[in-house]
Amino acid sequence: MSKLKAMIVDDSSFSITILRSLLEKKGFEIICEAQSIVDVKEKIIDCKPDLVTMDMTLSDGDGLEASKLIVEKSPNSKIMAISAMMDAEIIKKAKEAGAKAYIQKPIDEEEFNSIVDKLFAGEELYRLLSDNYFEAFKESLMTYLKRFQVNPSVKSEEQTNSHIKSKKSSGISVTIGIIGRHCGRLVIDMSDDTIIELAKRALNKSELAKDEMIAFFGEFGNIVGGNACSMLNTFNRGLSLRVSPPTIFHGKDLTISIGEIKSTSLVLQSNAGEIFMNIGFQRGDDEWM
Amino acid sequence: MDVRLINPFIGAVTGIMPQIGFSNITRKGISLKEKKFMVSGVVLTLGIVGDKKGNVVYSIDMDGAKKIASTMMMGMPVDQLDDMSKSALSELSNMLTANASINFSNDGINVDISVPTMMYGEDIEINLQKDNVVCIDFDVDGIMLSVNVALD
Repeated sequence: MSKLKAMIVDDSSFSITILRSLLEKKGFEIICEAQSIVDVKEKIIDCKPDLVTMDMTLSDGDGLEASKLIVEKSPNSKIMAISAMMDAEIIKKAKEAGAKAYIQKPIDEEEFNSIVDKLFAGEELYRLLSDNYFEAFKESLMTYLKRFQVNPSVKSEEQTNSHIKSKKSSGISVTIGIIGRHCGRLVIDMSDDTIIELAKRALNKSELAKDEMIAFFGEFGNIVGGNACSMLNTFNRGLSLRVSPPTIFHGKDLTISIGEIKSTSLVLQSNAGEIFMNIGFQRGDDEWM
Repeated sequence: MDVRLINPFIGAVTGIMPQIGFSNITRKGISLKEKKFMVSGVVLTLGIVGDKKGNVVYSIDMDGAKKIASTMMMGMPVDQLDDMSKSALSELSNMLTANASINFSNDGINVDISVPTMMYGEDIEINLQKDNVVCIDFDVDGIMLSVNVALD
C-alpha cells in the first residue's frame, strides 16, 4: 500500500518540527507545509493530502477559514484541527468548518496516534469491505443452495458503479437492509417456480401454500445475508454489520432499481431455475473525534 | 399501537417535505395493516436496527413519484422515471428515514438505518413478516405518500 500523504498547516516552525516527526513515525509522507492561508490556497490543489493538520491560528487569518478552503478544493482530505485552545465553542466551529478531529497542544503522542488511526480506520474498513463483500455474499448463497442439491453455477457477474439500471423481477424478490460502519442492502430475485422448488426441498413437502413460500423466501434472504455479514465481521469486527428483517415483494409487474449505490450483481443457473442477487454498500460518514 | 414508533416518521415527513419544496402536508390517517399488503407505483424500503428492529416502506403512485422527483429537481419536467428521478426518490427515502432516526434518538431510542432499495410496478404484494404494520398516509400537495412502519 502506498504511503498516506499529509500536509501541515502551522505558523510555528517549532510545531511543524514536532508534527513532522509524529506524522513520519506514523508512516505518513509529508508532501507540503503551509504557514498561512495564502500558502494553503497556493499549495492545496497540487497537494491533495489524505490528512491535514490545521493550526487554528495562522498569520493571516484562522484555521477555520483555511479549513473551509481545503474542504472546497480538496474534499477528500481529512482535517485534524490543532490548537492550544480547546473549548466547546471552538470545537463546534472547527467541526462546522469541516474538521474531522480536534486535538489540543501540547500534543500527546498517544492521543495523536489514536486519533489518526481512527480517522483512517473507516477508509481501511471500506476498502476491506469493497474488496471482500461480493465473494462473501456469493459464497454464502452458493453454500446455502448446496443444501438443496440444485447444482448452482455462475452464469454472470456484473458490477454497477454509478449509472442506475433496472432489472425486471422474475416474480419474487427479497430485500435485506445491512447496517454497520458502512451500510448496504441485498436483493435476491427468482421466479415463483424456483422458490417453490427450493422450499419443497427445504421443507420436504410436495405441496406448498403461498404463505409458506413467502415465509421460506424471507428466511432464505435472512440466512444468505446473515451468514455473509458474519463472514465479513470476522475479517474485521469494526465493520459491525447487522441485517434488518426481510421484506418480500411479489408480483407479475415488478422492477428492481439497482445502481443508486456501487453494487455487484450475480446470476446463478441451477436445477431449480435462475437466481439473481445484487449486493451493494455505501461508504458511511466519518465519525467525529 | 405505540405512538413512540410512529411520531418520529410523522415528524420526518412534516419536517423534511417543506425543505424540498412542498407546502401543504397533511396527515390523512393512520391505519393498521396486515403483514402483507398491495401497492402500485414506486416503493422504497429501508432496514432499521438498534433499540428497535424492522423496516420502513414508503409507497407513492407513479404519477406522484414523478411529481415529487420533479419538485426535488427544481421543477424540471419528469415524464419518465429516469435515473435522476430514481436517484432523487432514493435520496428522499434516505433523508426521511435518517431524520426519523434523529427523532427516535431524541426520545432515547437509538436506531441505525440501511441503504434504500427501490422497486416499482403495478399490484405489488409486499410482505413485511411482522403482524402489525402501521400505515401513515400523507397528502403532500395533492400527492399521496404512504409510510408503512413495521418495527418492534
